[in-house]
Amino acid sequence: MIVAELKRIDEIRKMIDRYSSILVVGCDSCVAECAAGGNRETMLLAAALRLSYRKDNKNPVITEACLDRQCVDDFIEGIAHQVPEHEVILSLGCGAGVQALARVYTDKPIIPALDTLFIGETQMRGVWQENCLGCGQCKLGHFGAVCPVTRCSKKLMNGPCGGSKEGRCEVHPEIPCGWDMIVTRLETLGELDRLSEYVPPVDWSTSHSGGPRRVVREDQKP
Amino acid sequence: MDTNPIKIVVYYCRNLKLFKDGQQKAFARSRPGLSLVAIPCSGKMEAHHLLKTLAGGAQGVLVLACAEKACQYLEGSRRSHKRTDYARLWLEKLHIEPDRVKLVHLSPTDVEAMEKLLKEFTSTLESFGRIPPIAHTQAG
Amino acid sequence: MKTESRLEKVLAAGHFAVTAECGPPKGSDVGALEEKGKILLNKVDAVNVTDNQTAIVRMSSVAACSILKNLGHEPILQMVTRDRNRIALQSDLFGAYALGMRNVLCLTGDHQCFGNQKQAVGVFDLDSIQLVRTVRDMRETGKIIGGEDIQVPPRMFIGAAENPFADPLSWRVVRLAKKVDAGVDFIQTQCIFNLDRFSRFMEQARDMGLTEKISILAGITPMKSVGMARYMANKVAGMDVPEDLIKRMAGVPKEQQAEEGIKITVETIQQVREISGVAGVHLMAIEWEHKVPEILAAAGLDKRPVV
Repeated sequence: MIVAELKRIDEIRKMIDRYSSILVVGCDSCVAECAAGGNRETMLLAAALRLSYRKDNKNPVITEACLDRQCVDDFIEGIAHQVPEHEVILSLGCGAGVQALARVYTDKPIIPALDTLFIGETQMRGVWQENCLGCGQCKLGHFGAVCPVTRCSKKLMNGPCGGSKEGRCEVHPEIPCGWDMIVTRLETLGELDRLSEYVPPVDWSTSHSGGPRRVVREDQKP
Repeated sequence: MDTNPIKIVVYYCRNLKLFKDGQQKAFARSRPGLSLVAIPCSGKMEAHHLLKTLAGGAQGVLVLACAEKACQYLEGSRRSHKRTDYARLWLEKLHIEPDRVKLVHLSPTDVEAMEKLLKEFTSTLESFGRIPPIAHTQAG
Repeated sequence: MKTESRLEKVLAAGHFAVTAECGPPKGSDVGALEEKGKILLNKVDAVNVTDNQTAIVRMSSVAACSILKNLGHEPILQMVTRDRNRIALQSDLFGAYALGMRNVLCLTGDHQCFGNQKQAVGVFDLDSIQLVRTVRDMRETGKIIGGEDIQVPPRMFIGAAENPFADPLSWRVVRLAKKVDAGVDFIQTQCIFNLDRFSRFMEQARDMGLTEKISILAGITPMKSVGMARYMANKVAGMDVPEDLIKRMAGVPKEQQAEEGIKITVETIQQVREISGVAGVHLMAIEWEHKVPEILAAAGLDKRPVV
């Protein structure tokens, strides 16, 4: 899922202070899962903004709404009746949601309330870990299902660097060394031999490096 | 009579059995500005409820809970701490006094303790001054 | 000979080789660089010119190599994969060879978070092993990545670094073998303080037949003070500084610690020479380059062979 975090209140205020009616829209998919932009968080942010404005003796209209998913056109229509009544949409969706709203509601400024961070997993309640960056050439089978592109700070393909210490990455002791994880896992699986093979330079053209990507499936079109 | 009484909302757990039938209304009537709301469990109060209450005009919110070990729903009273703490964290972020939201554990039927608590809370809120009322104009 | 490298000739002739490091200035200060270069001139067989080491912006390695070459040095161009993609790396190899460089040390590079440009993107298009292979393919096949022919291909003597003390330990020799397969000619190790561990590493390397194929140069760093010893022990990744070495430095009054550090360095060099398979030493006396001639003289290594 996509993991995001709420921006600081002062940053959000700066971006929306010029408007006198704000539609605050949450998303009940990924960002609800990581407790950043779901229904609860939307109500919380709206209430916080009202309080914040009251302190400044201001009273913009603040309306809350929440969509099941902000990145899918069918769902986006759900707020269509509310949008014209507000000057701006403050979106608690991930970057994809914010932009999808902008594509549909072309005459409304859309302001992000979240900083979108990564594709990752929920390891336990309250802990989300980045594990995929969409390189477009998945080699997870070769590395014991631990991604060297994402879990190694340097995207190394042929083994760890000299900075790996006690299973930790040189960048920060809280970051486990991706290669330590790969080696451990392949050892457990009895497949360490996979790592003796030279991995040639990666084809990054399928990643964002090759330009923004698009998938079209004719068989899926109406 | 205070023409502009300080607005306080008290969410109290039903299982505290603080009021006998009909007594709640009388209690509230004699204390202008006070709203009493019975809730099925203190654990039901989440941060967004508490912030909404303040945003809606309250100057302070009290959550009255059963003792942690006495919760009818086992975990509710214990969890309510995390939720009120989160609301208080938000108030700090907004540069608003976190003590405007308080969670207190009471013994069942202890109305006296509640009255004392209410008095103290009111005086604390008065010392903070008022969050400005909701403006009538849309000053932007 | 695979190349015209002077270092290759020294090693091939069986001499115990000496290389040292020379860090370029944090600017365009040619004078400062030449000063350092003059201290080391004729005292070493080749000199490593670092590439934005620790992710701190310094004069480019290619430029600094060229300046040192003009002084009379045999430079080893260090190349990290952190800052440049394959286009820039291969381009720099063409340029470096054109300017007379004959040795390249292929590294990944410290992460950018360590340096003075923490907000920079980390490129890491290639890793160090892929870079080794690229340089080898240039030399052996005359082609760049993708197979296109090179107009006068660079023929470089290829080096890489190895850290016998980094984790996962069991993996170090396997990774070294991978580097050898990729085309490494010589290795410089991370600086050694723990002789026992280094001995065991060399044993494994010998057992895997790696010492027959490549030349391993032992990394040596003189400690200036007990503070430096502690810093290296605790704050630098992949360092193994034994407790008794720190105690030894601490047991000596402050004004004598530098001297003690040099004594330890000379002892380490002598011990390392005894280990079978070690082809030379690589002195990393960062910002203490002026001590290198003294250290080498004390270790009996200051007369460099003419090849």
